[in-house]
Amino acid sequence: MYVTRRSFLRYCAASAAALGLAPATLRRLAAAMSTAQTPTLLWLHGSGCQGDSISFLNLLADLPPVGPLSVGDVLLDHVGLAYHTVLMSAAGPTAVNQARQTRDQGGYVLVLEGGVPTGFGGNACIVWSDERGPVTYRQAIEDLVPDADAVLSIGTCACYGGIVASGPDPFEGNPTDVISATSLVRQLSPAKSVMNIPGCPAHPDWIAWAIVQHILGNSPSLDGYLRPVALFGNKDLDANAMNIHENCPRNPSRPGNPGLASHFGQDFYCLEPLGCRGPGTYADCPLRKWNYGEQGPANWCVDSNGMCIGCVEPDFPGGDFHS
Amino acid sequence: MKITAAFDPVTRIEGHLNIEITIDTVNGIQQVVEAKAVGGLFRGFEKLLIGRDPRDAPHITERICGVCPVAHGLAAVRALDNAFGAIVPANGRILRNLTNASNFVESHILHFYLLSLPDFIRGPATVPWQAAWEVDQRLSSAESERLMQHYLQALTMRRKADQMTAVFGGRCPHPPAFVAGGFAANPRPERIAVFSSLLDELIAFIEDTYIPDVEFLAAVYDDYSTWGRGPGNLLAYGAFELDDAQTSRLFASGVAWNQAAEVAILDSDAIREHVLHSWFRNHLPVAPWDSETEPQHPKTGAYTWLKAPRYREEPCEVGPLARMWVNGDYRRGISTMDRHRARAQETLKIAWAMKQWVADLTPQGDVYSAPTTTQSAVSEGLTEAPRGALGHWIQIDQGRIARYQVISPTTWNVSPRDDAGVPGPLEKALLGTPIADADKPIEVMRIIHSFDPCLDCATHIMRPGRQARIFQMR
Repeated sequence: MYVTRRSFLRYCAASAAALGLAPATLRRLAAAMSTAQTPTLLWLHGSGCQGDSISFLNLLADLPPVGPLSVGDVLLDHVGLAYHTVLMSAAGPTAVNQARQTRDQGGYVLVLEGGVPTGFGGNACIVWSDERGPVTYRQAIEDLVPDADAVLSIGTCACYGGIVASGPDPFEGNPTDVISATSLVRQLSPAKSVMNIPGCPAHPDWIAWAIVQHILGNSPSLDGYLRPVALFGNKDLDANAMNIHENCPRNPSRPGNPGLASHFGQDFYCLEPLGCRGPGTYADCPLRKWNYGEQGPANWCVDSNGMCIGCVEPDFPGGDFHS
Repeated sequence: MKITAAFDPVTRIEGHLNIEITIDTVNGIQQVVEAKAVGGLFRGFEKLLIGRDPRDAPHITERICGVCPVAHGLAAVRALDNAFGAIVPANGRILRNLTNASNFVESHILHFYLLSLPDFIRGPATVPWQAAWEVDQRLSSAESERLMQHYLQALTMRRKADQMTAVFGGRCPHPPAFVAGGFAANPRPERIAVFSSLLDELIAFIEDTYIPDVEFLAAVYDDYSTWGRGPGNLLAYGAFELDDAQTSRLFASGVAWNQAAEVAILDSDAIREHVLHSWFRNHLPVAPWDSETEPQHPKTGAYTWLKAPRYREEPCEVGPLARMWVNGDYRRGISTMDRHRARAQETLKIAWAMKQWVADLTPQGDVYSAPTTTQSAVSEGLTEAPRGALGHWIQIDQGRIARYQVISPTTWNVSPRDDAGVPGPLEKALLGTPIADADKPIEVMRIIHSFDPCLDCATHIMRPGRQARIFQMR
């Protein structure tokens, strides 16, 4: 049952299109994984909701014809999840030691989920305690960035601040003065390799894609917001890039579509009049969709009539959703 | 010899929790004599909602918790329904139930296998299962291996439950289909078919694997059917409305005092929040709606950012055991293993109810009835999250959110001492627990995990003022 390197490759092959992998890339991945050590991930949670970790657990669906694969396979054989407080067995000083040992060995990917509170001396987010007392998320990042091979910010809070840094009221907004984890890393170490995988939550395939790129030793092309162009390409960089509205099966310009929605509960109607942010949002959700299983993807935001709220964009959540 | 130690982080929970315990030998038994639960994250969700369109509340508050976003979306739209006087059509009510119930099933399977089981079994010899304490391991290697296989199976099953949330909700985590006035999605026949087939798989897993595994573990660790009791008071708001008048629910509301069979009627006006031991400026206990939150740190005698909610001045446990007890479905006892048992049995009860709800859907029926938004209102939305009673309160002025307040399940369960010095439910549950190895108090972790704490939910209620100065958190 403990699935091997081969099954990860089979997953990548079966979902090559979804992951954007060319056959040559797959061959290179196979070669890399036959020699390279599994990458070690040191995954910290800051100010956020841990929704990206839960989304990550949805990784590696039972994709036909691969057969049952789960994130367990990845954890066992393909990445060393050295520190992740939701999943790790160790607690207290044993857990802290694990983070330190990983740091001392170096060569890990530092995964950051959640924004960094700078108010109250950073004390709005304590990640652990050591001999000297509580250690803030900010202090832990400062400690762990120098020896990291690369930094991966997962989810919109880590990438751009997101919900925890939001609020329309100038006095009440961003109550703990959150900055993005990425901006802190850039301050600390301008030359460090940093990639943003935004989303609220990030799609598990996007996270898998980023890990695969790391295994391959690739340096994917990033936009000005440090997002991989391959996943979040926009018109600033490429006039042919398509936003969610343009890719949307409900786009009213497509033949056979019924037109514009006037209220919730109208299947197949375009939700733009209700506030859908598809026209300003660049992600592959209409093509990739969400929550894969044997039956394919379960759904995606627009096809639940619940609208795209632009959760991958740097200004998320921004102003009113229903306008 | 008295030992005081902090275990920070407590892992395999949601959010940031530090547990400080004092261990001493009393009557020849080394045991916990004092316990303090310390939350380490605050975000101020209520503040960042101020000034927003009230209809944004479900989207924003789902982000309180990546594990139970659905319950927050539901509590928010219930508060909005009340504020707008919305009439929710039957299909809308049922789809809300199905989507929230799917999240319960996902959360409970995740909790038992991923969060709790590593306290009892030997995991694979690799991270994230190593380094583990591996103290008081009573299972044979074959038994441990079998449960580890079920752990891996549970990863797939919880993923399937997330698919069910997404089938109608749009995606999971953070489904966008919760709207005031009903539900955004329609129960299209092909979606009902996918949902039903996933549900059947989950029912089989719950019956054939989850419940037998819990019973097996409870038999091997039968001393944990005594330890970890807590205050014995059980409180539920109730959830899963079964009729359009919303008078009948799968889980009733109520309060059972000191493990009593008799259940008292719940009066949400009898909730008070205490702050004497929290890092807030002292005030007398007040109703949540009247609570003003002014941080004060350092503060003598305070040790946590959680407030202490009390019902008729008493600490109360919330969660699956409280729901099942109040509803008369589970009366074996209150302990570490009783929480696991009640949670597993509740999972099956909910899954079977879902079968009926799917049958109750009317293919052409409305899911949504557009409500008339209001310029001004005060209302509440009470429901249950997987971890227990969840309440949202909203005040709307000039069409915008003027105040928002959330009391989450873990705020009840992991609350600190109240003004009378009475510890919170988790703190109380740890007292008197025998400890074999003071450096590796696995007993403490097992009891903590039985509550399924979600500090993400609990600590967002802190609302420090802009001018507040906080020097340190110790």
